[in-house]
Amino acid sequence: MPDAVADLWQTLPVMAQDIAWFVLLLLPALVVGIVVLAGYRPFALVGAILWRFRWTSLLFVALIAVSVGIGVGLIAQERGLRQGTARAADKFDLIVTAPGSEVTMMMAAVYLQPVDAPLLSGAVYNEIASHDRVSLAAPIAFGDSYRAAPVIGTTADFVSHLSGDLATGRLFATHGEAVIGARVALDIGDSFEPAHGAGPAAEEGAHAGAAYTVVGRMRPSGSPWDKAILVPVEAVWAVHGLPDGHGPQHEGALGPPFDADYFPGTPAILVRAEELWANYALRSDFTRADTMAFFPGAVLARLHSLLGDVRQVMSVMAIVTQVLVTAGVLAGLVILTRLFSRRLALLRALGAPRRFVFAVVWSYAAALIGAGAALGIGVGVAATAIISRVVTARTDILVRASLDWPELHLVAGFVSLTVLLALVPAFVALNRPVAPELRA
Amino acid sequence: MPNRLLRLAAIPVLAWAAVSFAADDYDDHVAESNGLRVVHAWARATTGPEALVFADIVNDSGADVLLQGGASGLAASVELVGFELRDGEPAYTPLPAIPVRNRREVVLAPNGLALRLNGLAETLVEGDEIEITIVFDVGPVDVHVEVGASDAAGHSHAGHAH
Repeated sequence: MPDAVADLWQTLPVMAQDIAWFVLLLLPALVVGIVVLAGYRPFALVGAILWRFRWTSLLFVALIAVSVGIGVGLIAQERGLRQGTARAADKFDLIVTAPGSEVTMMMAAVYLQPVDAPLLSGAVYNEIASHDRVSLAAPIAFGDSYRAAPVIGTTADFVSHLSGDLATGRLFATHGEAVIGARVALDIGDSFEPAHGAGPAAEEGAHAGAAYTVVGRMRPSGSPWDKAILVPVEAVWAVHGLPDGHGPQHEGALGPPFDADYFPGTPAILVRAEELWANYALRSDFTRADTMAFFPGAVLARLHSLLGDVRQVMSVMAIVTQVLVTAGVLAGLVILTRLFSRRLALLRALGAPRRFVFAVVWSYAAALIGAGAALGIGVGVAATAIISRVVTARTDILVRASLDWPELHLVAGFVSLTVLLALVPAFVALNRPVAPELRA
Repeated sequence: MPNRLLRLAAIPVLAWAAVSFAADDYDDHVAESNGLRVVHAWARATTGPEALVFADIVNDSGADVLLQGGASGLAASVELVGFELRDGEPAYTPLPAIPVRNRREVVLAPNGLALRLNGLAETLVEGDEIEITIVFDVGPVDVHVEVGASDAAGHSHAGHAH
C-alpha cells in the first residue's frame, strides 16, 4: 500500500503535490476545529469577545503576523538570492582559466569581484577559439576600474552575447570606445580615464592619457555587469604598455583572430557552444594541466547546496521563533481569559455546557492565530520586497523574491501546531470554578 | 617452537587473504573493457524512481570513443544526463553521446555529467551494490556501483589510486 501511495504521489503534477502538502499540513487544525466545534456555533460570541477586547486582540494578531511575516520573508529571500545569482551566471556557459580555485575565478569572471589571476596565453586562446564546437570564445580581462565600475577588456561579440541588442548607441569599434552597463553613471558621449586596479587601492592617473568615450549602453541584465564598463581587450593591453594582440600588419584591429605572439594574456575566457553536450565535451577537453574549465552553474549549485542546508536551519528557526511568539501570545491569552472569566462563569451558570465554553475560548485563540497567519503572509510579501531591494542594491544582483508554496507550507504547519497549543488556554479557562468567579 | 611454526604458517595465509581482499576491492572499484576503465562507480541512496550514477571514465583505448548511455536490469532505462541550473533550480537534461578523447578522463559527478537510472524497480539503499552496463560505441562495460548515503558527495574510496 505505501508503495502504491508513493507511486501515485510521483504521478501527481508538482502543483498538485504542493496543494496536497498544504492541505495535509493544515489538516490537524481543521480536524481539531471540527472536533471542538462539533454541535456548537460560538461565532457570534467569539466575535463579540474579539470586539470587546479589540486592541488587545489586535496586538496579539500583530505579534503573530510580524513573526510569521519575517520568517517566511527570509526563507523566500534565500530562494530569490539563489535564483538571482543563477540568472546572473546564465550567460556564462563555460569559463576557462588557469588552474586554481573555481569559486575564486567564478567570482572574478562572472560576478566581477577583483582578484589577481594568472593569465592564459594566446596559444591557449587560439586553441579554444578554433575548436570546432566553440561558437564564442571571448577574453575577459579585468583589473582596471572607473570609480566603482570595473573596466573589462573583451570583444564586441561578448557584448552582444551579454546584452543582445544594446539599449542605446552601438558597439565599440576603436580602441578608445566603451560600452557601459545599464546602471553605470555615465552617458553616451562621456569620456573617462580608467584607474589601475579596483577599490580603495586603485591607482588614479596610472593610465593618464588613455581615455575612453562611451558609445553604447547595454540592456539591464540583473547582474554585476550592469555596473561594468566594457572596452576592447586590445585597449586594456595597450594602456598597460603591452602588445595589442595583433601583429604589426594588423595594427588597430579589434577582436579575433589574435596573433598568439602578440597576445599578452587573459585571466579568463568565456566559452560557449550551442549544445549542452558540447559544453561538457569542451570542459573535458580543456580540463588539463595548463587550463581549468568549469561551469559557473555547477559551482553555484555547490554553493547553493550549502545554502540549502542553511535554508533547512532557517526554516526550523523560523518555526521555532513563530511557535515561541505564539506560545507567548497564548500565555497572554491565559491571562486575558481571566479578564472575561466572569462572563464565562456566567455562561456556565446560565446552563451553557462546558464544551461550549471550551469551544468559545479555543475559537477565540484560533481566530487570533488564523488572522495573524493570514496577515503574516501580507507582512511576508512586504518584507520580501524590501529585503530584495536592499540585497539588490548591495550586491548588484537582481533579486526578485516572492512567496511560494514552501512558505505557504510553513504557515500551514505553523497554524496547525499553534492551534493545537491553543487547546491549553481553553482547558485552563474550563477548569476555573464557577462560583468564585461569579462572586469576584 | 610450535608457536613459531604457527606464526610462520600464518604469514602466507594472511598474505593470500590480503591479496585476495585487495583483488576483490579492485574488481569492485574498477571495470575494464576495450581499453576503457570505469573507476569508483557510485550512486546515492534514493527514495524515488530515479537515481544518478557517477564514475571516473578513463580512455586508454588508443582512439576517441563515444559515451552513449547505459542499461540496467534494475531500471526501465539508463540515459546520459548533464547538469544545468534552470531558474536557479538544479536540473539534469538528457544528452546525446559525448566523446571521450583518447588518453583522457571524463568524470561523471554531482552537478555535472551522470547516468540516470529511470523507473527503478526498487529504491536504492545505502550499502547496496548494484550492477549496470555503461554503453560506449566500442562496446559495453559492466560496472559495479556502490550505493552511498543520500547526501554522499563521492565514492567511499574516492582518492584511492587504481
